[in-house]
Amino acid sequence: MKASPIPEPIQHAETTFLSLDSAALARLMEEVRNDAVSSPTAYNRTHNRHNR
Amino acid sequence: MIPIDTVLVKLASRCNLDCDYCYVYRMGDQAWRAQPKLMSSETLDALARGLARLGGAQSDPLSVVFHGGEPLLVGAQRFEAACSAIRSQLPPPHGLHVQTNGLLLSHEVIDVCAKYDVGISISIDGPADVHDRHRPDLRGRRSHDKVVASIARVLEHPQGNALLSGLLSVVDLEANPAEVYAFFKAVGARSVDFLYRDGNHDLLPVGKTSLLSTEYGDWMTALLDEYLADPSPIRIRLLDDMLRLLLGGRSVKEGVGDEDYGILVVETDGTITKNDTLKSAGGGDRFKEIWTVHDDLLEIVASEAFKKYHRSQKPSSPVCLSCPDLRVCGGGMPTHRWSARNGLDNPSVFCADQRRLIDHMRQTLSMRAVA
Ligand code: SF4
Repeated sequence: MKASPIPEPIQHAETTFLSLDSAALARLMEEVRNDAVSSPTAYNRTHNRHNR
Repeated sequence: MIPIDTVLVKLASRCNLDCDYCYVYRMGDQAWRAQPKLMSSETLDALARGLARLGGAQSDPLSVVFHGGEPLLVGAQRFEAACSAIRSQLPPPHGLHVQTNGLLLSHEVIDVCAKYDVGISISIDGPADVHDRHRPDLRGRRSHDKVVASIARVLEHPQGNALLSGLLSVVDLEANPAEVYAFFKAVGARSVDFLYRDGNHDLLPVGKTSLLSTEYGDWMTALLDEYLADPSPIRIRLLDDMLRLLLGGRSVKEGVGDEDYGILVVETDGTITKNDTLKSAGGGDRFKEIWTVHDDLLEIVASEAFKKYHRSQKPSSPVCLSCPDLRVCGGGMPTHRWSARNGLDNPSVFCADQRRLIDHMRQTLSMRAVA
């Protein structure tokens, strides 16, 4: 298997200079800076499929 | 050992809604008919013991999700017994959640969730006209009002904000993304996730005219613009995960990014199956071996058959392997990669949509980058 190619990076260093006019982006950049990992009780682990 | 992230526990094999896009009942797989309607207490107890061993053998906590069908069809008492069985063996920080259509979310059930630290995720597709187009009950009646009332009931609970993990919505291309986003904000959700309609290379998802068309990518792009312009945004998990990857961080969503995602699915009769969304991909969710909760889960996860299946979830198409967006896209859910001819060796059926969305994300980020 070939190794995964890395996409055009938007580097950490660059993100420091991102304009913070978007609240959602500012929040995400903060999380990336803190290397936030999801907790098992956090919202983001349940949603993979509908109950259907 | 392959770390297991999610354990999907089918408490009930039937549903009290009749959604037109359902991968369990509406995509040709009839296996649910042979399943017991509800999971028995013996099966749950055996599963709980097995999970305790499995959870103890890995460093990261498990995320157990009660699922179905509609898991709350078991009734409040059996639901409490199920929560108690799992929690007695898997206390926090292991996660326990229920993914429900919300119709049976009574005060009693919400109290049980609070007592056993069970996060609630509710399926709702947006405003009434959008939701009721796709999610009628078994007699064809609308379900939206009841689901909205259930969300309010959860939020009224003293621990409501913590209990409501989020809402889960299937994209309806005919809906207006801005209206859908505004609805989710108005209803008080802190977090929403969006799923695309299921499909594969032999059966295109509803609304996609060809593999090269970008209807879903266009819809998500409009949603992204709305989201990024909101001064007090809720969470949109799919967008957050992809943006976080573009910003150099990590994702946690199955089918996004290149993190490993170990999943066990347990049917109501206690059988362990593969990723259940593969049901809509030629019924390919079965292992050759018949494994149940009475077998040693550690041995199952360590077996060659399980490892092979786990590897097969990773993108394998040469197109994905040489794609500059692979790290962000992840190649999509296995079920969306399937075709009778190539099995899972295809890019996602949403490849063009993903590229459209990722391109737009990149442009949006670079526009905001100040030199
Ligand atoms: S599905 Fe398409 S966009 Fe995603 S990794 Fe594969 S080739 Fe790239």
